[in-house]
Parts: sequence; structure tokens; C-alpha cells
Amino acid sequence: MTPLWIGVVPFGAVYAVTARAAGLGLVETQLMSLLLFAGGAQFAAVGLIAAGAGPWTLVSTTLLINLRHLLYGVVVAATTELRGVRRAVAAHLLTDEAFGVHVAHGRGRPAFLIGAGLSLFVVWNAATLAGALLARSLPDPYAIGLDIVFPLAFLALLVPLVRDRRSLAVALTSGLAAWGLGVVLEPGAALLAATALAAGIGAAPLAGSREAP
Amino acid sequence: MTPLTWTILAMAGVTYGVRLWGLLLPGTRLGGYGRRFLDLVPVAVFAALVAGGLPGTGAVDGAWRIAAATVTVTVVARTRGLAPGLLAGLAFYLAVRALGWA
Repeated sequence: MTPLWIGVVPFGAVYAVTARAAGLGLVETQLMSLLLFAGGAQFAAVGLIAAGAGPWTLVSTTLLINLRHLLYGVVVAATTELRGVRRAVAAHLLTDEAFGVHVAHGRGRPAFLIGAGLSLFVVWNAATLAGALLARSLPDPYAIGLDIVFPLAFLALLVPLVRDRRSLAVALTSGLAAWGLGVVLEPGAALLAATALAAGIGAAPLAGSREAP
Repeated sequence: MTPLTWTILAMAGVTYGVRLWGLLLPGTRLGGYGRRFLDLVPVAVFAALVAGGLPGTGAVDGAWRIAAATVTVTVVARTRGLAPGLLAGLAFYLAVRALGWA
């Protein structure tokens, strides 16, 4: 787990710095890490808040991003018996990283899943608090050009996800669509439309593939 | 509570609901299209957020911001680290601004 903890620390700190730069208070920044506990969705929410998006856009984008967790739950439930309080706790701790280590090392062991998730939860929230406290000393981000931290952070998150031509095509399509739709729609709506369009096209079977859609 | 606090609670609610829903559905199989769509959503979201936030206040500023983005992509691709890539791109852009070029 140690490499994962080390990997989570900068993510949590950078999330907190971007959240504070977007205008979130210390409590709101920390509350998102405590209650949401989903790095990608937290980063996206911060970007949307900075762009002035409304509550419905924030909630629907969060749902769209975290829908993949449905798959994680299905896979975990198929291999590991979770009931009652354990299932309720595991549901809050089921992140990308916890799912990954559970599938690799902890199949059939509910305590492993909860322990791994809990340790990541503690590290993520400690890193968030440290980043949020550090960010208090920063001046107005837009006045000194620090607003660029948002797109650069999303870009740094995007690069490792672009693993093949399909994901590269989806990234380019979504970026161009968001840029074009941003002229006529409010930022959150443009993001949702671009995401649905690009992922929807990108998920289609490749030409010549025999896989059923 | 502020409106943003309520929004955060709603975001947490849908996230928890999705995770719990999956744990309550053992044996469910998602088709190839649905699985690929969900896998590609983070890629599409982050790309859209980059496109929405990267353009600057003019052609010159925009060009330097794209250059800073190129620095971030290069460093992340080499190091696989979020923080080094972000800091390198940010340092590049702030240096350009300090020199009065952007």
C-alpha cells in the first residue's frame, strides 16, 4: 500500500490548492474529501465551480464521472461477501485505488478491502488538509496567472489515461467539442455535452471488430 | 449551511449511491459498449476541462499557456507524476509572465 499512499499525497494536496484557488473555503474543501472521497470528481467539481457552473451541473457531472464505480461494486460483490455495516462502509471507501489493490491482492477478503480503503481515506484527507492550509498564503490566482493551475492539473490527470488511439481520439473530440460548445452553452452544459458525445462515439466498436455493441 | 455545502452533500449522495448499488448487484454484467463508455468518461471530462480553462486573455497569452501545457504533458509522460508535471508547467508560465512576455 505504501506506494499508493505516496502517490495519493500530491493528488490530495494539489486538489486542495486548486479548490482554494477556485474560491472554496477550508471546510468545503475538506468536506468534499471527507464525504465524496473521489479524486477525479473532486478535481472536476473544482474546475466547474471556478467556471461558475450551477449545482445541477456539479451533481450530474459527479454522477457521470463516478458511474464507473458501479462496475467496481459489481466486480467486488461477485468475489467478496459483504453484508450490513461492512457493505455500507465499503461503499464509501470503494475508490479506483482501493478497487485496484483489492482485485490484485484481496479477492474474497472484505477486511482487506475496507483496510486498504480506510488507509487511503486517511492519507487523502490529511493531504487535503495540508494543501488547504498551505493555499491560504496564496494571493488572488487570476491576478498572478495561477488560474492556469486548473487546466494544467486536468492535463496532468489526463495524460496517463490516454493509452491508445481510441482514448486519444476521445480526448481530442471532447476538447474540441467543449471549446466549440462553450461559445453557445454555459460551461457546465458544454462539458456534459462534450463528454457524452466524445465518450459515446469513442465507445462504439471499432470497424472490423466482431464484438457486439 | 451554504448552497455549496448542500451541493457537496448531493454530490456525495450520488457517489455513495452508485458505489452501494454496484455492491448490491453481484453477477451483473455490463455490455462492451457500456463498459467502454464508462471507461472513457474520465478521459472525455478531463479533456473538456482542459479545453475550457486553457485559453488565455489574448493570442500571445494563449500561445504561452499552450506552451506551458506542452511542458506539463512532456514531464508527466516522462515521470508519470502529477505534481512534477503540474509544477513544471506552472513554473514555466509564471516565469514567462515575470519576464513580461505574457
